[in-house]
Amino acid sequence: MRAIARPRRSLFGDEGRLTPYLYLLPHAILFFMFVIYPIFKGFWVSLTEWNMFFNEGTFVGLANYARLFNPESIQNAYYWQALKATLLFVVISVPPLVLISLGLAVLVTGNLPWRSFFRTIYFMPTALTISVVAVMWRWIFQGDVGFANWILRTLGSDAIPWLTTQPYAWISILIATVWWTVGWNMILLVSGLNAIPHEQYEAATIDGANSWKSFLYITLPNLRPILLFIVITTVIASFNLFGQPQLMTGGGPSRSTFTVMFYIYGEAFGNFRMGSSAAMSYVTAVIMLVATLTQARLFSAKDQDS
Amino acid sequence: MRKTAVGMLLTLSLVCLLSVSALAAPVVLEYWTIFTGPDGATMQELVDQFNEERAGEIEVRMSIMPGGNFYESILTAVISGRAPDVAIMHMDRVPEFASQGILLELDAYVEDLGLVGEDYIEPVWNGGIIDGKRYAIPLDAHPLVMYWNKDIFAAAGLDPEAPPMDRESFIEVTKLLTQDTDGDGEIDQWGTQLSVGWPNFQYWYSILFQNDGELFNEDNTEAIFNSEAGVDALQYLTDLIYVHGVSPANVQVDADVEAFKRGEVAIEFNGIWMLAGYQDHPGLNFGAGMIPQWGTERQAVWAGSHQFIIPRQRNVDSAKVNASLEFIAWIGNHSLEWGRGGQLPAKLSVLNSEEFRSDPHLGSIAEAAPYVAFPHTFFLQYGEATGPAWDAINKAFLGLMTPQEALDEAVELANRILKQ
Amino acid sequence: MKRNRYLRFSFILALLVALIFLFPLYWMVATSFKLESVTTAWPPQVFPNPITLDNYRTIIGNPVDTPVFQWFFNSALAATSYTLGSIAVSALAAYALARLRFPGRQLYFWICIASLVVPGVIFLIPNYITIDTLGWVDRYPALIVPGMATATGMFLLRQFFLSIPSELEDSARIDGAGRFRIFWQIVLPLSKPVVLTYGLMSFLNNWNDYLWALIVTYSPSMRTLPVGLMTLQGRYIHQYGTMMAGAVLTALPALILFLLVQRYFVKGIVLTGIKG
Repeated sequence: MRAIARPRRSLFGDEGRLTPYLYLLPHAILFFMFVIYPIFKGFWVSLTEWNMFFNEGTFVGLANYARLFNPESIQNAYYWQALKATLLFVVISVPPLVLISLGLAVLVTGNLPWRSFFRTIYFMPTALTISVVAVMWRWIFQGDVGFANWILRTLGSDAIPWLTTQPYAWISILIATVWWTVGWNMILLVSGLNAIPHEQYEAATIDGANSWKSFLYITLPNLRPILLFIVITTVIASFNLFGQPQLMTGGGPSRSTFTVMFYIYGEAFGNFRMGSSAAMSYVTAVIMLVATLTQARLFSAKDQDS
Repeated sequence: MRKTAVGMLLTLSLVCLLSVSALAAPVVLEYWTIFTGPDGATMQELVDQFNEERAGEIEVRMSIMPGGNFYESILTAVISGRAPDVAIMHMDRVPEFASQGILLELDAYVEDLGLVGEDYIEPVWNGGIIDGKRYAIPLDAHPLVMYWNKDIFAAAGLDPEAPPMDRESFIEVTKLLTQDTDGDGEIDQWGTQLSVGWPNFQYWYSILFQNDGELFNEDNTEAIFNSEAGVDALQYLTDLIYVHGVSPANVQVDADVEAFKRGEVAIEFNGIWMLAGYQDHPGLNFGAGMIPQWGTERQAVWAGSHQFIIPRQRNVDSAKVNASLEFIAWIGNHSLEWGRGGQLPAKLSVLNSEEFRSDPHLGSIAEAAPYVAFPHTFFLQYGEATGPAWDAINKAFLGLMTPQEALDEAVELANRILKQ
Repeated sequence: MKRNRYLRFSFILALLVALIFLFPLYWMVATSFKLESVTTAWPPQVFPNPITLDNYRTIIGNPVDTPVFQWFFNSALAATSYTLGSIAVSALAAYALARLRFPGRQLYFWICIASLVVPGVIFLIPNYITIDTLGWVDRYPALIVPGMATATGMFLLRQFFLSIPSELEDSARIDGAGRFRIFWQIVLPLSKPVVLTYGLMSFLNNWNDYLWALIVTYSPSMRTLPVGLMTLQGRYIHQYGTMMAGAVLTALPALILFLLVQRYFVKGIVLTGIKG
C-alpha cells in the first residue's frame, strides 16, 4: 500500500515557515543594531578607557563609575553639579508644561469659535527645531536691545540681564521651552478631553454640579492616564535638556545651566573621554528610570485612594 | 593582428589621455579655518588670490567652522579619513592634538621652505614645537587690544590720542567718562564694559602676567593662578564694576561690542580682529592700541596665535602635503594683507615693515608685539584646565563670590583636571 | 446669558494667548528684514523700516560658509529617506506581528515595547561608535539609518492592522491572492491615516533632529538645517538680522509642511487612540 504523502510546509511563500521572519527581518536587523546592541555596547564602553582613534577600549572595570564618586575627580564636581541643575529645571518646568497645556486644552475644546485655528497656533511651535527656538528667544532676551527688556523699560522697570544671571537664565530657558513644547501635551489632552463621554457631564449637571466641580470630578479622573503619560514624558524631556542651554546661555552663567546631557556630550565629544561619558549616561539613565517608576507608582497609588 | 594593434593603440591613447588629465588636474586642498569674523573674508580673498596665481596647479577650498565646532570635529575627521589637507589652529590647542597623534611633523619641511626662527615673533615660533618636534607653523599673533572712542575723549576735554596706560589713570579716566549724558537719571555712557564671558579671561590673564604671575607650575601639574598676582588681577577688575562703578554688571558677551559701536562706551577691550568691524561701522571715531599696564610688575598682554597645521592622514599624499606647504609659505609671504585684516603677522619682517607700521591702528597695535605673554608651555589639558578659571571670573564679575574664593575654587577644580 | 459671557471671555483669552504665541515668530521675521544697524537700535522698530533683503542675501549669497541650500537638501534627503524607510520597515514588521503566526512574535513585540523605557541618553555613544565602525561618519546613511526601526512605528501600525477586520483579507486569500499582495494592495491602503500620522511624526522628528546630526556630521557641506543654523550662530553671533534670516529659512520648510498637514496629524492622534 502506498503511504499517503503528507504535504510538507515550505520555507518561503505564503505559508512558509520562514516568511514571517522575512517580514520582520529589516526591522529586526535595524532594531538590533541601533537599539538592543547599543544598550550592551554602551555599558561595555563605560567599563573602558575608549580610544576614539583606534575605535577600541582598554578595560578598566568600574573606574569610570568610581570617578563619579571620587571627590578628587573633576567628573565628580561637574557631573553632580550638572545633575542638580537638570533636576532644578525638571522641577520648575514640569508643572507649567502640564498645567498650561491643560489650560490650553480646556480652552480649545468645547464650543469655542475658531477653536481649530487656536489649536493650530498653539501647536505650531512644536514643528520648529531647537536651534530656531533658541536663536529666536536668545534675541528676545538679549540684555541691551532685546524685546523683553524693551517691554520692561517701557513699563518703567529696569532691564533684566536675562541670559547672564540667575534666576533669569533659567526663566528665559523655561519660557522658551514652554512656548516651544506646550502644544504637544495640549494636543494629547485635547484628544483625551474629546473622548470623555458627554453623559458623564450631563449626569453631573443633573446632580447640580457646577463647572469647577465637573472639572475636578469628571474631567481630571478621565484624563488620569493621559496626564500620567504626559507627566512622565515631560519629565524625561526636561531631563534631556540640551539645545536651549547650549545655544542660549552656553551653559552659563558659570555652568549654572550646564545640564547633564550637555556635560555628557561635552565629555565625549569635547574632552574625548567616551568611557567616562558612557558611564555618566548609564548613571543618568538609572536615575531617570527610578524617577519614571516613582511617578507611575505615585499616580497609581492616588488611583487606589480615590 | 590588426585587432591587437588597434587595441594597443587605443589603450595607449587612453593611458596618455588619463595621465595628461591627471597632470593637468590641479591638486585640490581642503582648508579648514576658524575665522568666523571679518577675518574670514580677508582669508577668503587671499585664498582666491592664491588660486588665481596657481590656477591649474593648486586649488584651495576653504571652509569656515566656528571654533568650538572645529576642535570637536578635527579629531573625528582625521579618524574617519575625511580630514582637511591643511588647517588653522590656535596655538594653545596644538599640543592637545599633537599628543593625539593627528598632526604631521613639519621639521623637515620647515627647513626646505627656508623658514627660520629669527624671522618670527619668538614665542609664536616656539609655540609650534612640542616635545622637541614641530607640528605647527605660525601665521600671526592676535593680542587683546584696547579700543577707545576718540569723540567721547574729546568731548570730555581729554586728549583723544592718549588713553590711560596705567592702573590709576585708567580708573580716573573711566570714572570721568561714566556719565548720564541726557540727564534722565540713568548712566548711558560707560567708561568701559567688562563682559560676563569672553574676553574677560583675556584681560584677567593679562593682568596676571603683568603681575608676574603664571597659570600653572613648571611641569603643569598644579594650578597656581590663585596666587596674589591672580587675586589682585581679578580684584582690580571686579572693583571696576562694583567699587568704581565704571562698568555695568551683567554685560552679555558682545553686548560691549555693540555698545561701543553705538558710541556708548569710552574704552572697550577685545581681540584685534574686531578692528575691521569697528572700521566698517559708520561714524565711529576710535583709536586702537596696546592695553594699559594695570599690573604692578611689567607690561604684558594676552595673545593667541593662529598656526598652520597639516593633519596626519591615514595615507599620506605627498603631492597634497607639498601643495599645502607651498600654500602655507605663500600666505606667510602675504601676511601683510592678512595683518591688515586685523592680525599681527608672525613674520617680523612684515610686522616691522614700513607699510604695516604706517597703518594708523595696526601700527599702534603692533607696539604690543614684544609684550605678548604666553604660558611657559601649552599642554594637552590646557584648555580643559583653564575652564574653571573662566567660571571663576564670571562668578566674581556677577558678585557671587569674592575673587579669592572664586579663584581658590577654580584652582581646586583645575587641579582635579590636571590629575587625570 | 452666562454661557455666552463665558464663551466671549474664553474667546478673548484664546485670542490673547494666540497673539503671545505668534509674537516671537513675528519678531523673528520682522528682525530678519531689518538693516543690521537698525536691529540694535533703541527703541526697537516694531515694523522694519526700511525693509531689506540684505540679511537673506548675506546667508544665501555665501555658499562657502553658509551653504543653506546644501543644508536644506541634506535635511530633505535625510528626512524623506528616513520616513519612507521607517514606514516600510515598521509596516512589514507590524504586519507579521499582527497577522502571521510564528514562534517569537509575542516576544519580539514586548522587547520592542520594553525598549521604550530605556532613556535615550545611553544610545548616543554606542551608536556613534557603530557609525564610526561602518565608516558612515559625516555621510548620509548616518542621518538616515540609525533610528529607522522604531518601537512606536511598529506599535502604531500593528495596532491599526489588528483593528482591520480579517474578513477582508480572508476573502482575498480565498480568491487566491498571495500574502504580500494582500499586504500591499489591501492592508496598506486601508492604513492611510495611521501611515500618514506616523509618516509626519517621523519626518518632523528627523528634520528637526539636532543632537544626533550634530554628533555625526562635521563638514559644513554635510550639515542639516538645524545644525547649520547653530554654526551660523558661531559665525554671526552678534548680527541678529542675519541670524533671524537664517532662522526663518530653517523654520520655513517645517512650518509649511506642518500647516499643510497638521489636520491629519491631529486627527491621527485621536484615531490611533493614544488616550490610554
